[in-house]
Amino acid sequence: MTGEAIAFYLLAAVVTAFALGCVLASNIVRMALCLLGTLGGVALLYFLMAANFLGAIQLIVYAGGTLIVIVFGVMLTSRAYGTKLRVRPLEMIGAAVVTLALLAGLTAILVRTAGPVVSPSTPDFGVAQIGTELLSTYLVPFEVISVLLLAVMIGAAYLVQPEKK
Amino acid sequence: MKLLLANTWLPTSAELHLFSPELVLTGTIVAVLLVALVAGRRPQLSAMIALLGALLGVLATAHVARVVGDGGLGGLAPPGEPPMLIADRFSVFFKLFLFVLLAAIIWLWLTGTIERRMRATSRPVGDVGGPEFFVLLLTSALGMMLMVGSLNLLVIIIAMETASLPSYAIVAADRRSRLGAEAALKYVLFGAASAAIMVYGVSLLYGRFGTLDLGAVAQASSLWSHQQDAGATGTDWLFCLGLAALGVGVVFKIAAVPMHYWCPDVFEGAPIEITTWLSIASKAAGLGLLLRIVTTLGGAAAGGTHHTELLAWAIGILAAVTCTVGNLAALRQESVKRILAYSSIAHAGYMMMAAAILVAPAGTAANVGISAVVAYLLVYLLMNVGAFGAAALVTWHAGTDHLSAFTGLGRRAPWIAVPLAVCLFSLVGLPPLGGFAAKWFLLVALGTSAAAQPWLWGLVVIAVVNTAISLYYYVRIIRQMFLTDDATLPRLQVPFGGLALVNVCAVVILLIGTLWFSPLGERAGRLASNLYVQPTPPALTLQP
Repeated sequence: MTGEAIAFYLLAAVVTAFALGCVLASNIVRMALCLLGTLGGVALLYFLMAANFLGAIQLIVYAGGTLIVIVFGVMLTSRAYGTKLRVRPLEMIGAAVVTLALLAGLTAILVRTAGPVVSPSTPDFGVAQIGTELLSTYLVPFEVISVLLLAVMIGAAYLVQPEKK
Repeated sequence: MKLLLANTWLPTSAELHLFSPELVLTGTIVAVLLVALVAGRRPQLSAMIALLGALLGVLATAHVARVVGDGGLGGLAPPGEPPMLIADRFSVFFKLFLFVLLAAIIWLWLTGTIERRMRATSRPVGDVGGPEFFVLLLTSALGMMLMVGSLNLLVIIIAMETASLPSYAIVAADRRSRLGAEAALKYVLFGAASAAIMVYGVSLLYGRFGTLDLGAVAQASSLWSHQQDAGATGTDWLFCLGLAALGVGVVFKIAAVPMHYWCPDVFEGAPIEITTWLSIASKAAGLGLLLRIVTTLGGAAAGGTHHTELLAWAIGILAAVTCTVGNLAALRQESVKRILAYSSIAHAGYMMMAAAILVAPAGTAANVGISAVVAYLLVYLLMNVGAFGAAALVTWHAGTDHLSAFTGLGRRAPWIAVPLAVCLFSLVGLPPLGGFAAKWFLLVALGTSAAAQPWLWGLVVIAVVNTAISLYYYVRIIRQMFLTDDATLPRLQVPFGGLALVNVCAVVILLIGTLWFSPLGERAGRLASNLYVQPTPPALTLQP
């Protein structure tokens, strides 16, 4: 077993453990903490696959940005802070059945599938090349996302603006 | 230092011309925002600008329609790359459809503000409007146009989000309405879950085929099927799973079973203009995307493979279940908005039936299913704008959309009751109305394709049985309007704009059912011909 494989399995185990913790914890702050572990672990997995840019983005956007927003949300809504989120046994069983079936199905399919039909293009992308691609090949999605973000910002502001009179 | 920009590809002006409707719409969004900045928050001014933008969009689309030749054009990608956006007659049809609908919705909103001002003293009707409202409405329209105008999975995902996210916000546009807030929350949770599943499916497809271009995915998949020539029964499960997960997102937009639970609650809670918009535009865009995906996969498979057959079966079964569930659930509703919501689920089911045709083996008329859906959507637009518009006029007046608000409408407001009855009978599909023409073309399409896929006869039977079931709940509304009366109820004073909209819809429905019956079929057939096909398929290197 190479060092890379060992690192992968270790990291994968850590990510899985944190993900399980996030689902099974009943305290919302602990959930957020476990989510941090999961997202950080995935970032490390990206680094391990030499996708440095993706790893950095994962850390900045998810582990950094999104999670802080979630924690702020939890802390600011004082009622949710400290309350235990309980799941009824029936819901637990239902969720377990669905997820286990999904896991079994996905594993079966992935084991059966030999690999990609078409080999993907070379993945040695640097930041400069990603930037160039964003403004050439992926210009349309890039521009549409800008419009989308503008609309989402306006929508959020619209929903929270105070009521007149 | 290298000058990167000099080497970078930039879109040509011919390409930008081709996508001028989208650019006009984006320009309108900016104009609505900037004018509000200068002239202050005047909802009616914003509405006027949005209406002007929609009309300009119609002109731009008409211009594109002349440019788009046979087979359509793709563009906005560097040379050698598959196109990011495409323009063919099918996408031009959807752009026109959405612009006309946008204009109708804004017209309905303008009518509504007059109505609201008239009874500002009597009861608090929610204040829905402002520049943000129109920005969100226009952005969701932009997303829907892009959904039907691309074969790139990344653009499709972003387009669906652009259609969805603003819709979540405008559902809660009336901030005093608890029902609206609840509807928006349900919508956003359902939408987020289905979007997540869809993105996962696309990631599986990308992992399998190494490309985001749907055309290339279709070719790789059909090539794979033909390589497994041992009876062509080998199933590429990863491909099927990816496609199914992608389908979850599409089915959510169409509000077909099993992703239909959000639909009645959202339609009931949203302002009625938005209900009208979502019930037509969201479904149309979802159906357009579904047809695009199915024809691309079926077209590349040339003669049909095991996978396209599976896909056709899946769509057929979903369609049958969808229209049956929609019609049965509608029977027990008391709210007219909810009845029309379930009716729209049922109609989505009818239209989905046509999508099951498209993967028929060669020999049947090309794209007969698409032309049936195009004809159906045109009539559906008129029927739903008419029915929801009439319901809106009554709802604004009575403050509720309960069935009892329609009591004696035949006496109290004949100019609403008669067109509403026409629209409802047309939704049933009775001759000589447009709805009959729509159902006729659909059933004929199913019947002629049944030569190759005999199980399509099953769908024909289900559609006919469902039509009979649906008669009950549509006639319930008509009965409430004409056969029950309460002499104490006063006559309705309604704004002229609303009456004009509803009556124009009813008249056009009548005309389609009689004089324009065969022109409708011909037009639809021409719009459905010549779908965009990638001219140069990318070279594939297959791995076993």
